Amino acid sequence: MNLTKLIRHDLQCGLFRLRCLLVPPLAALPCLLCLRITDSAGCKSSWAGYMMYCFMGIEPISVQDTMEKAQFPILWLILIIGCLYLHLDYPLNDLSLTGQQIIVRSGNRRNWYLAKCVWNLCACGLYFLMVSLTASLFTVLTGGDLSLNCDAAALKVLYLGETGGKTLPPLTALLLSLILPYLTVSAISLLQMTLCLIMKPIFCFLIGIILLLLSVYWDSPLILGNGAMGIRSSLLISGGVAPGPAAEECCLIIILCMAIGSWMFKRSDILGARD
Amino acid sequence: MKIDITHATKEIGGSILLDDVTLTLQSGRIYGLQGPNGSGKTMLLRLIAGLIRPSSGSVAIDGKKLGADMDFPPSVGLLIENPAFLPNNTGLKNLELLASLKGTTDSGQIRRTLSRTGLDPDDPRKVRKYSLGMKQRLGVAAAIMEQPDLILLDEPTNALDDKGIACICDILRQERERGALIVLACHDAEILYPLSDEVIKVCDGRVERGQMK
Amino acid sequence: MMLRCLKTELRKAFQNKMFFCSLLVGSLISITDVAQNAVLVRRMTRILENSSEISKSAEGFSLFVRWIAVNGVTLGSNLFYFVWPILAAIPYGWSWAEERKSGLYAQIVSRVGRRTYFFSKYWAVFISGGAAVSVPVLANLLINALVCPYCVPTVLMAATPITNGYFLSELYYSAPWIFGLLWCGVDFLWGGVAACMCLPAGTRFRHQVMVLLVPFVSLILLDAVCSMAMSIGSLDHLELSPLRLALAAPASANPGWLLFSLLGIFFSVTFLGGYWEVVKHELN
Repeated sequence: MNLTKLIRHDLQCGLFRLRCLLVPPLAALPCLLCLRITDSAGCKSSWAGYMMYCFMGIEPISVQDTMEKAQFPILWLILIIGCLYLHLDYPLNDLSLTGQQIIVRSGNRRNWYLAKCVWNLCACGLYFLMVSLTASLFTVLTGGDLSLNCDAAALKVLYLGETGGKTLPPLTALLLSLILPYLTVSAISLLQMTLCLIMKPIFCFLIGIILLLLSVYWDSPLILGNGAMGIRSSLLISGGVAPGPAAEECCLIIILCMAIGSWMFKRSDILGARD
Repeated sequence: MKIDITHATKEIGGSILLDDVTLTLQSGRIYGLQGPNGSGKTMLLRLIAGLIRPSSGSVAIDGKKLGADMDFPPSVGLLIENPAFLPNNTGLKNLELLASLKGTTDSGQIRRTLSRTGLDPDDPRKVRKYSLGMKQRLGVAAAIMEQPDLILLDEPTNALDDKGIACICDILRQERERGALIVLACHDAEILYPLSDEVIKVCDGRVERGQMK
Repeated sequence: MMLRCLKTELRKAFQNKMFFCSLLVGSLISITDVAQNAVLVRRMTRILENSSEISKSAEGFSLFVRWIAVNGVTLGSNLFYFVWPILAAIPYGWSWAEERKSGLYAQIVSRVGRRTYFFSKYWAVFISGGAAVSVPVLANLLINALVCPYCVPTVLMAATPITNGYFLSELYYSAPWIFGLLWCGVDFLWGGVAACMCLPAGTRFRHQVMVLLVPFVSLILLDAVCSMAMSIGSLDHLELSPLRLALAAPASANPGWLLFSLLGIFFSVTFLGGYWEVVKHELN
């Protein structure tokens, strides 16, 4: 059967779900904190400032430092994990309940899996769109600049002076606030979906969390998660993670998940077990 | 349509669920699968549907091997285990969503199929409000609405009253007349024997051809 | 009847694959923490041996500073105290939802009654969840004792994470082993109430995984709200987040009244919520 029909079906059934309403409150938490920081410093954040704050992350935690407690990037983790959580169960529907009717009608296992991959990418896109809209709402309500311009003062306040007073070009701001986080989250979400073919979904979700926590500790570009932390980018700090390789790595993982997942799904038994 | 199952064996987790099954099934006939619980009837249906792959042996449909030349039979309707639908949609909406995947069935056809199974196409209730019997009827409707060449039904009369059973039996006879190949697993011999052209006995994963009309 | 039903539920809770999977994951995380500590201890010991200028005290990397419930720095510690609600839910949090879906619920309640079913289910979920959290914490203490030097913590130590206002802080400095064992008990209670959050949620989700994630998602959202409240309001001297209150040494103080008040609230909410869902709610 036509792949586009399957994709259309998945987008129709699995994209706009009630639980999407959870996204604005999730995104509002870092936006509120960003607002508080910029307000107390007497400057205003633009849309790009809010978005970059949402996906700022933290500097790597050093285990060598035995004296201080680690500052945990809880809001960053919530934003990323929120996306993984919201997209965890939809593919399972097809593997268990209603889905056998759909899989059989698809006529082609590879197409079915690829449609799920496209759905996953679109659902992550929708998630980021909703985060962006929440940031836009904050920008408008606080009288900020609804643009990709990020002035040096706000940047210095938000990034605790890490940027050395740089002003970011709009394209860089877009890359750090939207494109790289989107690619990173999509890669982890697809990885989670692929792993669901071989293990229980709860453990796939745990693996996603472990990956994210590894990236909190180590800023190696090889660990997924670093791409979604603006503060570690070489565009902001010297010796940081280069955006090119980080994006390439995410794309590679997305492609590998699509290829390996469809190969595995072609060979797997659909027994109708619930989870 | 002709289905050739040749020396198919299915082993999962060390236990043999289907053991060296060899069968030939022809269109325009109803094949009844009879056997005790856990004998492998559902697994055999899954094998024919392409949902599981044989550990050894093969399943061919009109000479094309399942899993190699195609993933699923080209025209199949099935009801395996309990019928499951999107609980927050009406029965009609559920069938329309399924039908949109192939795009070969229009709304009129879906409505007619619902009426045939004794359901009201304009019933505004969501599927979560359906009784077990209504869900079962909807499951049968989903299996036959696209007039498939192959219909696989696992206990389609579960939870149905006498009227419902008679209705499903009538539908299956009409589908046979249309030329469909129907494989039916049912534990109730009183339903299975009068309805089937041939009864295939399944025991411990092995099959044995039984009574033929 | 109740006792027999509880015994059966406990047997089901402790003799299932998911319980062992949860223990395995918890233990692996716990061992990650020990490994990081071992590397640190080796490095620090070498520094101490080679240096004559600095103090030769090993207090900074001693057992009760590096224990998973106290250190708050290692990957193992942060990971464990981030995912503990999932580990608590995995063993048996799924049971009510699954039994309801499969029809086993109807079979059991027709024999023992809804109340007996609920009470035994609640305690089985509570105990299995508590065990899944407290056993890796206890194991970490015992295995770390093989790796880290033992010193009785002193108030003067700069690295000591527990100060005035923390629950059982005096015991930490006078009898750290008893403190450690008691804290495993507190973690048992947290694990128990977290696992029981799955009970009221059991009828709301179609998939087991979503039920199992209810405690994690609820606690992580509460954590975010508490972090915001602590940073904005004047409550920054108190740890309000239940997710972090499972740590013996969270960033802010965890006085006993706060700890047990929150535990009590969670217990009441899960118990009453579960009771409503399982006993009062119509079977559908």
